[in-house]
Amino acid sequence: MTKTDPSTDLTPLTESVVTGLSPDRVREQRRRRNPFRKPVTSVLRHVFLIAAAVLMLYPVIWMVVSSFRPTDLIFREAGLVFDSFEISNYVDGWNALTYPFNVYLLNSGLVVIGSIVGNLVSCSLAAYAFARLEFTGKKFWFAIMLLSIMLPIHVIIVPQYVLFSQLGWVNTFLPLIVPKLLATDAFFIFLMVQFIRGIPRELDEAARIDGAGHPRIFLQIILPLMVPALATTTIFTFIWTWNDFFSQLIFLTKPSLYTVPLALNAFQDAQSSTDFGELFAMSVVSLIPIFLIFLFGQRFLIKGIATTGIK
Amino acid sequence: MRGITRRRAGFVAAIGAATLLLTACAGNDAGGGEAAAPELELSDEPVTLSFTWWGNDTRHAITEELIAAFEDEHPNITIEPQYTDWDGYWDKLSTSVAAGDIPDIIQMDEKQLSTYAANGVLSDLGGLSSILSTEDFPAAVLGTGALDGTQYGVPVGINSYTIIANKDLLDQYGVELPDDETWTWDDFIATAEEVAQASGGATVGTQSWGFEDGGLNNWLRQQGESLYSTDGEVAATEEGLASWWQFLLDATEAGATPDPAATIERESGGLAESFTGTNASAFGPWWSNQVQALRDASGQDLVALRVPSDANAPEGWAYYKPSMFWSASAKTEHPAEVATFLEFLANSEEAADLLLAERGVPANDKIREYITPKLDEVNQTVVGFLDDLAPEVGDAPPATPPGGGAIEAIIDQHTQKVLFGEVTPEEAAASFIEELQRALDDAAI
Repeated sequence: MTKTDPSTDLTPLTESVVTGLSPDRVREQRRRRNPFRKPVTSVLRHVFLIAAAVLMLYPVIWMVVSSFRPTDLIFREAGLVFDSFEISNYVDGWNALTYPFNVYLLNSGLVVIGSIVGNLVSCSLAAYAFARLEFTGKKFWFAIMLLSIMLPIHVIIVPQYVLFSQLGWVNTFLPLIVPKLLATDAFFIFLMVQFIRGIPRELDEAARIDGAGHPRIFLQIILPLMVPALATTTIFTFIWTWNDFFSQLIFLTKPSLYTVPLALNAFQDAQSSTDFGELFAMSVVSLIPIFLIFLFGQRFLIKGIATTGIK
Repeated sequence: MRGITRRRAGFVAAIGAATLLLTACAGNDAGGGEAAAPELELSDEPVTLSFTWWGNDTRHAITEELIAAFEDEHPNITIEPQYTDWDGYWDKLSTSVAAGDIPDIIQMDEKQLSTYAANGVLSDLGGLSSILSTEDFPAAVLGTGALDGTQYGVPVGINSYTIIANKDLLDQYGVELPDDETWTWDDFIATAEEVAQASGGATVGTQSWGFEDGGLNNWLRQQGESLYSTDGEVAATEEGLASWWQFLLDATEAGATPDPAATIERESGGLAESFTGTNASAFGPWWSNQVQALRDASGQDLVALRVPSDANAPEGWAYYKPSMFWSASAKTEHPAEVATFLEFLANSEEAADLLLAERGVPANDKIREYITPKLDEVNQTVVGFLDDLAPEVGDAPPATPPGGGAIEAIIDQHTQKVLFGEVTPEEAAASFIEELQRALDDAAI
């Protein structure tokens, strides 16, 4: 797994040797790879891209601007002009519910960390088994696992609730975390299986000749090589769990255990009034962790997606 | 109000079906509390009750204060709050009920009451009568919480359907506020058109409606019909329904209501984004308990007017709708404590001091009288409006039968089709009856 990117540090001639293409072809490809050569085209492209980005970001920008407005003006003067800068939505919103907002952030944090650890450990083990071990009915179980991706949560929530309720786990974080330790997020198993299949078997065999068993091959050979897949799993688990509303709504009833989505939900009621200013302010707060994880994680994310064959 | 359950209607229906199956086995022993009200004994041991409601953050704060006040009086009783918004509430309640995990005290809606009661989830409150008194509630209002003579819910607040008028806008365009005691539907539409024209299109005459059952119920009662029969079937006729949609269609074509696309778009935005809430229409049909929230949203002078009626409308077509009910779980282990808490909520002045009119103008006559002077000006006018209406108010409409919660999605869909001209009012009427009856039949299995 060397990290050579032939396009950056090789001459066309050398690259043509590496890739087996003629030097002309390599030059031609390079020209295509670099579409911003003409300044005018480049400027136009950037203007277009920036406009598209602003368009996509419009709802978020609107939310941020609105979070600094008094609630009664949000829909009456629903423009993007930054006309008022009221910090009070943040101050009031933080303390508007039964507990200050940091309690909900912490609860969400606990659920997220539990889910990430659970998914990393269990899904990588399951994926190793599917990718490298031979056992009876392997294809059958793999198919079952894939089918479970397609089950919507609404189908399984009632039986799940009955089960957890009888275990006395309702109103704890256990129903949200323990299933992750049992490799129930089939999407990540699939992702990792694809990744492990791409790792040359020769590496395993070399380790086996040196006397390593499956635990060692997994821990010392496969795991270090699948960091991009693990990073992808971490980031997606973070985002999905942080934003998950439905299962948290069903399993958590005590206000002291509410997570961020439930707390945000407590601000609104479609039947009467909703304090949108405070709601938007706290929504902005709850977006910060997601924003940060994208900011620092996107490098891994792109690498993970590019190398696992999921495009 | 309006199509809130729509987004999740499909899911709620699915869960509802599961709920029915599961509780059908478990619930049969529940409703049989007919034998004379048993003596209830309060426990000396610590007791914990769960209490669930829907609402926004204001309501959550008020209710938590309420719980604290109750716990001060009854140190051995702990009330565990569970709250969420309207959409999540029904998903959550149906799931926990399916698992037999029923909260002890439940805030109930009129459209869901019978469904839960029929499945044995709710307790017969008659069995709690040694502690919980309901004698200060007017019989017609109390009856809305009963099913086949069994009381399943104590009405919390009362509402009436109203036309909200924006006085500031009317003044601005020099249109006189009509006399709502005598006005007819034609007067109403004519006034709305006048505003729309005077404003040169800047203001909508009246917000359109037809996305929930309130408007339809009022219209049908004016035709001498009712939506449901007392034995839980669809009773509305095709003529009655068709005339309603014809009216909405005519109002749209006349320019009194906005074009359908704008209506549907605003419709999904909830109260704060409505035409009334953003001062974009002179009139709008709402429930009386929404006046306060609308005034907060719009910041202008909004007044509640009576619903127009034609000369041939029968006496007593107006009615009070309970805003919500207090219900109890049929499986609670502590009926005496539940009754004590319900008594506190429904009959105590102390609770009224905290609740004020946040859950609607109190249905309890004595409490309403007690609390009115303490309400703010807007809510006092609402109380005045409801009291003035009293002579006109007839019996409450027959309760929504089990499965009737599906009506919001059905009504919404048919109104949209009619306004967009996809079906005629007559076709919509026929298909509406068929779909609603099917929803009731499915629930009755």
